[in-house]
Amino acid sequence: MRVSAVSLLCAVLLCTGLPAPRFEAGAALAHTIAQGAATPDPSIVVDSARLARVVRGIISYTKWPEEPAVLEVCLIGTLRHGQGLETALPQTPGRALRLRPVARVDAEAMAGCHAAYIGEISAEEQDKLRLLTQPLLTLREHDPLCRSGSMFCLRFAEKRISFDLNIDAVARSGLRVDPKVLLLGYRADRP
Amino acid sequence: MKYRKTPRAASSRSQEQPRLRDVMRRLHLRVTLVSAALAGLAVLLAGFAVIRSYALDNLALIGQSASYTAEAATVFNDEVALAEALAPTISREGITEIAIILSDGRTLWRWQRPDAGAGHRLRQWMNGIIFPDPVVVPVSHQDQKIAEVHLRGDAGGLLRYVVVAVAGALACLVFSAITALILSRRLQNTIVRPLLHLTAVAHSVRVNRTFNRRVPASSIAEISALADDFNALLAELQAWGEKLRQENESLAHLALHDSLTGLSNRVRFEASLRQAVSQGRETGGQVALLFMDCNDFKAINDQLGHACGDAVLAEIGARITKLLGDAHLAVRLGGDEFAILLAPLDSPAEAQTLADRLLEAMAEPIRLPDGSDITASVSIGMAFFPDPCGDEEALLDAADKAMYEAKRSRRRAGGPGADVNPV
Repeated sequence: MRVSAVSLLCAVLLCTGLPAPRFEAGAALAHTIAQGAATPDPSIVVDSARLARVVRGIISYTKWPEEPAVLEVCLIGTLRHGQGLETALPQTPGRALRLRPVARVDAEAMAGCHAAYIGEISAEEQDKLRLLTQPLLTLREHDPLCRSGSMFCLRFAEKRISFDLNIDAVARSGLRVDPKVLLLGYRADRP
Repeated sequence: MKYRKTPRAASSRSQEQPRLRDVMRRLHLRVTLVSAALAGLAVLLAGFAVIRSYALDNLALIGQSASYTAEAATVFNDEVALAEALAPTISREGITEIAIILSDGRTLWRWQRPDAGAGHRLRQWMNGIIFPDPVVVPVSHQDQKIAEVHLRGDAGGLLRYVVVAVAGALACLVFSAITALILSRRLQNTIVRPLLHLTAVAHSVRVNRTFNRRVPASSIAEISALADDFNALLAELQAWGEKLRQENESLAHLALHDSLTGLSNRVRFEASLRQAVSQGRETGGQVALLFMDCNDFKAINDQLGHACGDAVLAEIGARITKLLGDAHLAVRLGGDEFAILLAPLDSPAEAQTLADRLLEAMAEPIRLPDGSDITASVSIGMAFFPDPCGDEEALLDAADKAMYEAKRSRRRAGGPGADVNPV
């Protein structure tokens, strides 16, 4: 519910072109932080196979307008948990895919990307990402409020990886995400 | 023992042997109970099978739904999401266990209905018998089977049905039994009652010889036929009995009466005389005895033949009867000898008057079969009791003597007339 409220709020703000009311959302933010889900816990050791399965699952529920023969997954920014993906993800069963680390975020470098696994990036890079026009599946490693414009925001916990959804980002992406996943994401954020 | 025909055996037989009413009631009850029980059992089994099959279909449907709901969570191996996704499914009544088992055999998530009190073990046992195998529905993702949903159903609904069905069957049994008893009672009225009538009439006929009784009509053809035949038999018996009685009467009449004159005979006379004398002795009443015989009857017989003699005797008898009516006993003792017993006698004069009138009556000529007339003179002797004395033998002797005295005196007089000689 909270995510949907936040997402809707974002959507409304984006649509109307108003500046984001950061202070107004402060109460909800503080509440979330108090729950402990917002701050990344460095002690959490993520099982790469588990992460790979989640990424693979999200990919499997996503439809591109023109399905590529080999799906290119770009790795962006400083990865905290996703270092193992390069080896783990191709081992999961499913469609053919290729992983490619992208050092710099711009339209040219990311031209062939169908999906982007995003770690720590600067605000500037984040803005550049927003300007990309191709249908791109975006997964963000750390974005507790899921307001960075990525479609899926992963949440890491002990023995569990869940994700939040930014419905507006999904709607704007030009991709078709299976409602089952939308529902799951929706649910996954519930306390 | 059973076939002895003594009344005692008959009564003990009626105690030992079942009555038709009871036999019919028992039979009705048995037939009805057996059929109702069979019907109930059939409905129970058929209902059980149908409901079980519906329950399995329902389980399969639930499984399909669970498979769809659980797909995404299974893909992500997210147990928490799985639990949340399947929460509505497990809240349903008909499931005791649900498990998501991955293709590699690992159980991703399992839920079992918590222990539900006292009947739980029994219920689990029943579930195991009624649904021995779990319903298995595959979970597919992108046309690949990634897991299986294993569902175990709860037989609670089925057991409830069985309980209700058994209760309903029992209620039906009771209702059927009551109906059977009512119907058998109604049938008893149409079958047993006519038979009881028949029995009562037969008994009454045997014991009281009431041949005039008849069995009433019945609505059942066979019993009606039996009753008709029985009634016909009774009618025949009645007619036969009547004929026998008449013959007896005529034989009795013959035994006590003289066939020629229709008067009483000597046998009856002796009995009556004895009775009159003893009665006279007790009450002090008087009895008069008149002896009468035909003078020269031998001559009539010899000269005119026995037919004419018989005609004379018959006419004498008829005239005596006409004179006396039923008031006194008139007897033909044999041959041409007649006797009249006057008992009780009011006075000796009454006897004298009667004797005179007899002589008067006999003075009339008698028409013979050949058309000729003849006058038969008679002699009459009279004797009285208790005068002079003694018993009926003395009375007889006295009357006899008086009559012969009269006869002799008539001969001495030489006239053809009659005479009366009282003792």
